[in-house]
Amino acid sequence: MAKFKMELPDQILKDFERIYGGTDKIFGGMTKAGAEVVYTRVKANVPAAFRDSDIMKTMRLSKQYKTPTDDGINTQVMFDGYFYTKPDKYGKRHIAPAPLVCNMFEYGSSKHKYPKHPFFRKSFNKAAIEKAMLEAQKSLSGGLLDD
Amino acid sequence: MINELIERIFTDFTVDGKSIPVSFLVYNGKATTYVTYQQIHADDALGADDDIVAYVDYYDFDIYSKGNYISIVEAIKSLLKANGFTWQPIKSSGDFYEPDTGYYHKTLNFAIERSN
Repeated sequence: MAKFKMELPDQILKDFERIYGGTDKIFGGMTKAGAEVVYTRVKANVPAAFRDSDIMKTMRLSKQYKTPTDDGINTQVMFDGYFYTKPDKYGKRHIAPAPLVCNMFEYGSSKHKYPKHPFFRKSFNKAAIEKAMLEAQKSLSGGLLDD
Repeated sequence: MINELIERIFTDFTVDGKSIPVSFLVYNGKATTYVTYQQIHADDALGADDDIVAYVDYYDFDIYSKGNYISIVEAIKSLLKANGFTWQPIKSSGDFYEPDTGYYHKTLNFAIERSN
């Protein structure tokens, strides 16, 4: 009976080990790279009223985290917490929840004086996000994972 | 062109026997339940020869109501799906309530692919 035995070269085995051992770091870095693209675009797309408002201080990237249900690795772009509004006509500043204000701009309201100004959803450009994630994948895997 | 399609789809839009006005951007009538729609943005879908061959139009449909609007949500989804639109859950909103006007508000987002 003819036999054939093949051994994988050591280097390939080491590469597999390196990738397997570093998946969380690689995927985490990829989601971070994608989130950074969105962060930059959101910053560019925010309504004019946001630009000199304290609401911009509530915008940030989350830590990379794992969702327990599916082991998915994520990084969020978020407006989180509360901020002081600009002074009203009495010079008083109010505390407002940033996500609520963002929702009002993003989706508008029944009152015509508050038309919607979508800035968050349109900041998710799939092609740009994928490009950044693939670049991160290549660099974080030391070139082993390319496209 | 898409607006014409939407207007045609929603001609005599009726849910649970009640006629619901559907208008572009703003509604100036007196009904307390109504829907507005508008294009939110467009994204390239397919490119060739240094040009965009196909792109995706994203449309928001905003339901305003002072009562239960669940059946309106389902009716809009079903009508648009039958006419080539795809519901975009991640671009749609949660449920909102405006305490000062008494309106419930929900945004449904749909995509439709178009050729250039």
